[in-house]
Amino acid sequence: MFIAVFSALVGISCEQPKAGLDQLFPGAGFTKGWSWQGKPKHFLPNNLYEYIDGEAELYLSYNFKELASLTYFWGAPEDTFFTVDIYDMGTSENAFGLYSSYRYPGYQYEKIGTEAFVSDFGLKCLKGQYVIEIKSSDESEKCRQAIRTVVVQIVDRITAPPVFPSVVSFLPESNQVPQTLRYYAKEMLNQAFLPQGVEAKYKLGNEEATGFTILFSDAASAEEGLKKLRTFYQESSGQFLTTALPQPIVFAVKTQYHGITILSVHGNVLNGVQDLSSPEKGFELIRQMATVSIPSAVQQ
Amino acid sequence: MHRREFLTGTAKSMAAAGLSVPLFRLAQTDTPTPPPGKPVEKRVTPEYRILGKTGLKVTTIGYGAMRTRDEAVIHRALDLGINYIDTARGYLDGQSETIIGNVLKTRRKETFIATKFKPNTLQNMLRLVDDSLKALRVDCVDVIQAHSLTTVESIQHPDTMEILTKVKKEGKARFIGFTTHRNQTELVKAATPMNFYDTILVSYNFQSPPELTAAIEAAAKTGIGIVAMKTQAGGYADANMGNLSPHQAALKWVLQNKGVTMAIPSMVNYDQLSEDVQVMGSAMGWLDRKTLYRYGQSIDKTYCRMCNRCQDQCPQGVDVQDVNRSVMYHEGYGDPELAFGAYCSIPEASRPTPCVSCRTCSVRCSHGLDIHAKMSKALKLFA
Repeated sequence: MFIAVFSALVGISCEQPKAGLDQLFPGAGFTKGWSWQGKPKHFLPNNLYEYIDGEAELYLSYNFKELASLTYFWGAPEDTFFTVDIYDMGTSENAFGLYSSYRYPGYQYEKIGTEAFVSDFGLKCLKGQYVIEIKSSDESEKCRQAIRTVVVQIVDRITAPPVFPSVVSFLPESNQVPQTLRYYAKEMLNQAFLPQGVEAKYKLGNEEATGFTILFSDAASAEEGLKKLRTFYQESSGQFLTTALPQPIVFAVKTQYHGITILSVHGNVLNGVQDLSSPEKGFELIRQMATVSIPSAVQQ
Repeated sequence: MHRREFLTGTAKSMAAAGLSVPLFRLAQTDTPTPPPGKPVEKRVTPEYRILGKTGLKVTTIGYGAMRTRDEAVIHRALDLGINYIDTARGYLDGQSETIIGNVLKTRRKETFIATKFKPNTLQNMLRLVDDSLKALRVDCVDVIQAHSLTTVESIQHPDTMEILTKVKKEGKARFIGFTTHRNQTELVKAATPMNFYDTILVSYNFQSPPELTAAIEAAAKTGIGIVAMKTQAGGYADANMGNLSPHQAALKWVLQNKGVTMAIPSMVNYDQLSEDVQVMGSAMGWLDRKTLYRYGQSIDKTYCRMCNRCQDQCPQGVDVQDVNRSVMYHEGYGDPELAFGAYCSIPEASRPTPCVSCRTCSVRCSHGLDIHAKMSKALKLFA
């Protein structure tokens, strides 16, 4: 058997299994009074929707691999409890992409793992290729403390460093609204023909705009993408502006629902700013984007 | 090949072949002549049905908003004539309702809005409904639904029924319903004689059993408005389809059941939106049937779906699901070390050792997996 030989060579036996998701859950004695029953439930792409309903599509769009879910309880299982869901998203980029979909500037953020936030819907934590979600309808201090203990123990077991993936550096930091940066694994700007990219909100003077960077595989694809975007704007009642535009801006268009959008292209990267009241307000941001160094490929 | 290119190309080639009967008709499109300098925008003629006894005249394609993070796509959907948006309190941790609320600020009169809450304590459910109204910026939604019910007991639960009744009475919702994507047939059948629910949002597609089709038709006859979701039966098998796009065919299949008022596919990009609205007014043709047949074949039947319906079926106590998971790690993920570790974590008494001497496997997988073959595979890989 290949496995048997492989196991013998690397010294793996049934007593030392490779750490799967189950190994990340703290055991029953993680803190006094709390325990768990049975074993973690597992969900795969095929049946994730059985657990999180229609929201599964969002996770699948980020190449979701597997979910392990376990409930910890105090006293009887139907008493105080909280549920820990550990999502393996395969890569740190996809984990960040999923996590960033839920981020919102108004939430309470904490330095647990790479980052964590608490909202009315529970706690979400990011580290490496994993997103940890903890939900409970119990708001007692006892439960809150236990949740904090569990999530800290889980992130300690994740060996990846607690750093954001490189995609967060693809947009300038200056004037960026905190916690608004999002990574999309595909279909930037809601367009099926566009690939992955990042976007973030920016405070430009007294208004807020959206800066974005779209990553193509090569320069020719970027030019093709730009052409298709131009066609889309034309077909959806966009009005192309005749304002003099500084390099490297290719065109400015007044769109139906995203204000004025300006676009530039550099090699395999397409940069843009939308939701502007005038093209000039986005010039400096576009100029800064052009100075950001971006690798030619992002792991997916 | 892009979906839209495929659809256009197919229609053209069929015409060239002299086939005058449309295999699938695109909904009638109006392409007005624009004034000079103004770009052309394609429009679709919406198709309407009445949502049961609610009397709501809704488009047969509604907008499933669970993944939408950009208001512009919702605006576009409304521009194209869609007049029903479905969301839930929990989608994107509340952000879905907030995004839709921004749209409803200026377009409330153009659309019906349906949202959902997960059953909880009485107090929490009331709070969830109020939170929804606040996020959506409305005083009243058109449909409020108990979210993701899976048992007959849950649709008859006094607390859930009390909240729905209260919300309707207080004018916070015009109509009430529930949503389900498990045990659908049982729940639809149980809800039909209750004379309580105005709508049911149900997972329904071309792979659903005929009993569900019959249950839907019976429920619709009593005036319950049926809305279909999960119409794509998975949606992740596209890679195996070659140049065929099954999405329109899958929607048409659902809508040919006149008991179904509408389908609410999830729409995240403009292409999906365009593809889905074109279904309105289109009849199912033989190419659609062929496409669905191929789609059904391509949906991967080799991996365990972890649905756990095989639990306790084996008289020898083999933990079929966990053994399958170990095999999946090896075959699907290509990670033999993880696979072996997962296998080792199964208690010895639950491993498939007895399968060697079992002539006939008594475990029946509801998705057609050959369980005996899988257990044998595991023994070969790990024992």
